[in-house]
Amino acid sequence: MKTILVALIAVAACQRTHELQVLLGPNADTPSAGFLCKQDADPTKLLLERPDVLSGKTVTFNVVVDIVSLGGHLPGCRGEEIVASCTPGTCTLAVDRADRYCKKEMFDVSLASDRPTLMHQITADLAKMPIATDAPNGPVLLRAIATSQSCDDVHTGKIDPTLAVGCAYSCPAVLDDIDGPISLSLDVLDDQCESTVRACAGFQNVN
Amino acid sequence: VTRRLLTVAVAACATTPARPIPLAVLIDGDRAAVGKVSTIDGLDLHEVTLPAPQPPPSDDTNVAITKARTAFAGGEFSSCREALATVDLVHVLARGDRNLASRALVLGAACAWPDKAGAEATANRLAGFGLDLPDMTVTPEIDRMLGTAITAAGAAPRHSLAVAGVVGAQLSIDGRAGDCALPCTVDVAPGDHVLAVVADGYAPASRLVRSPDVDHVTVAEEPANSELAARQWRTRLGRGLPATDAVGVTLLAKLAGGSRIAYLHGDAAITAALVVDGKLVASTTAGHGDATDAIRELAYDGGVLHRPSVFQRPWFWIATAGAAIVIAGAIVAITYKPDPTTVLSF
Repeated sequence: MKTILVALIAVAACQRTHELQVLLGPNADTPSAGFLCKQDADPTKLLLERPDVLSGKTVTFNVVVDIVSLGGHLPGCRGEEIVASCTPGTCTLAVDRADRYCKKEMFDVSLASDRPTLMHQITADLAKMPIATDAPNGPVLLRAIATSQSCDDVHTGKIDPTLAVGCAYSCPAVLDDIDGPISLSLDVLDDQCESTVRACAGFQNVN
Repeated sequence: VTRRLLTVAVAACATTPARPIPLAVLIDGDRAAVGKVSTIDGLDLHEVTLPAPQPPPSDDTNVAITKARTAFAGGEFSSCREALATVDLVHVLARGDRNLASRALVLGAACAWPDKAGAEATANRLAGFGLDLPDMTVTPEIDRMLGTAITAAGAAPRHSLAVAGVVGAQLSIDGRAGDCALPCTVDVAPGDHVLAVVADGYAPASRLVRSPDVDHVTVAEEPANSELAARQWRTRLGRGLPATDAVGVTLLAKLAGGSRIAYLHGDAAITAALVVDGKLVASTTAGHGDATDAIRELAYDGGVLHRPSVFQRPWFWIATAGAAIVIAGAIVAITYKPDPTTVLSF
C-alpha cells in the first residue's frame, strides 16, 4: 500500500522537460525567405543591406522572438487563417515585452556568401539564451524579427515594422504536444517581400 | 501502532451492551507475557486471584497418641483412655492415615484393661477396619487378643455394601485409597467401616457405617466453595491435568464466584479460555502482552459481546479504502499526463 502511494505521488510529481529547437528557416543551414527579402526601393539589395544594418562590412541587427498566444484557437498555417483567428483581438504576447527574447547579432558581410556557415554562427549565438524556459501550454505561434530597432526599445515599446529587415513565423501549434524542431517561414512567392516583412513584424494585434 | 489503532477501532465499532457485563479474569503463568488488561467497553472486568496454598490443618492426633502411650507405660490407663478419647478415628481413617488409626486402636485395647470386653471390642474394630498391627508392643495378652480378632475378621463372610454419591467421586474405605468410583458396590468384613469420598468441585465427605447392618449408603458431598475450588484447580494443574477440561472449567466457574470467567495463561503466547455458566464457550491464543485483545476475542466468540458487523470492522474499510486507492491510482496512472516544461531555444 505504501509503495503504491509513493509511486502515485512520484507520478504526480513527475515533470517532463520538453526541449524544442527553433529554426530560422526550413533547416539549420538555410534562412527563411523572410530574411532574404529585397528592398522595394532597390530590388537589387536585400533588406539586410539597408544602411541602418549594414555599416561598412558589418551587418548588425537584433533578433526578436515573440511567442504569440492565439487565445485558445488553433488556426491553419496560412496568414489569412491566422489573421482571421486573431481578429477578435484574442492574440497577445505570451510574455511581457520586458521579457521578450531580443539579441543583438552581427556578422561580417563576407560571410553572406557562405550561408550555411553564417546560419550556424548566428544560430549558435542565438542559442546562448533560451527563448522561453517554460513555454505556454496552448495554441501559439512563434515569430522571429530581424530589426534595427534596439532591444531597449523592443523591451519597452512596440515593434516598429519599418525597422524590420526580416521576419518569419511558425505554424500555430501547442508546443507541449509537438516534437522536433519548429521551422519559421514567411509565406511569400518571390523575394520582393519587404511589405510582407513589415506586415509580419507589425502584426497589429500583438505588438 | 497499527495493531493498537485497529484494536481501538474495533472497540469503537462494536455495539456495547447498556450495562457492562461482569467478567472475572484469572491470570496465571507468566504474568509479564499476559500483559496489562485494559478496560473493554461493555465488560466489567475484575481480576480474581487464587488463594495462597494453605498449610495442612494442625492435627493433635499424634500428640494424643504419644500422650496415651506415655500414660499406658506409666500404668495410668484412665489418662490413656482420656487421651485417646480426643482422637477422631473416622477423620484419621478418612484422610488415609491407617497406621495412626492402628496405633490408636492398639493403645485403646491396651488401655481398656481391665475391661476385657472393651478391649475385645476395640480389637475387633481394628480387625474390622483391616488395619495392620503397628510396630508397637503393648502386652502379650493384648497382642494375642488382636491376633485372634484379626484372624476371626479374616475368616468372617463378606457383605456387599452399595455406596452412592457424586458420580465419579473416588471412594476409599477405611483409609485404603482408590477403592472405586461412585456409584459402586464393595464387599466388606462385618463391623465398622469409614467411607470417605473426594471429588473435584465438592468438599470431601466421610461417613461411618456398620456392616452388615446397612447394605447401601449414600455419602453426600457439599459443593466446594470458591476457596476449595481454587485449591482443587491448582492441585489439578500441579498434577499436569488440563486447566480447562470439563472438571477444570467447573472449578474455574466455582472459584470465580460468578457466571463468567476468562482464564489467561501466559507463556510463549497467551492461551485464553472463556467459561460461562460452568461451560467452556470459547478459547483462543494471542500474542505476547495482548491480554485485552484475547479477552475481547473471547467475549465475541463466546457471545458475551456482539461482534461488530462486517461494515463496522476496520478491516472492511481499510480493504475498501485500499481497493479504492489502487483503482484511483490505476486510473491516474493511465490517464494522467504531467504538464511538460517546454524549453524553447535555437
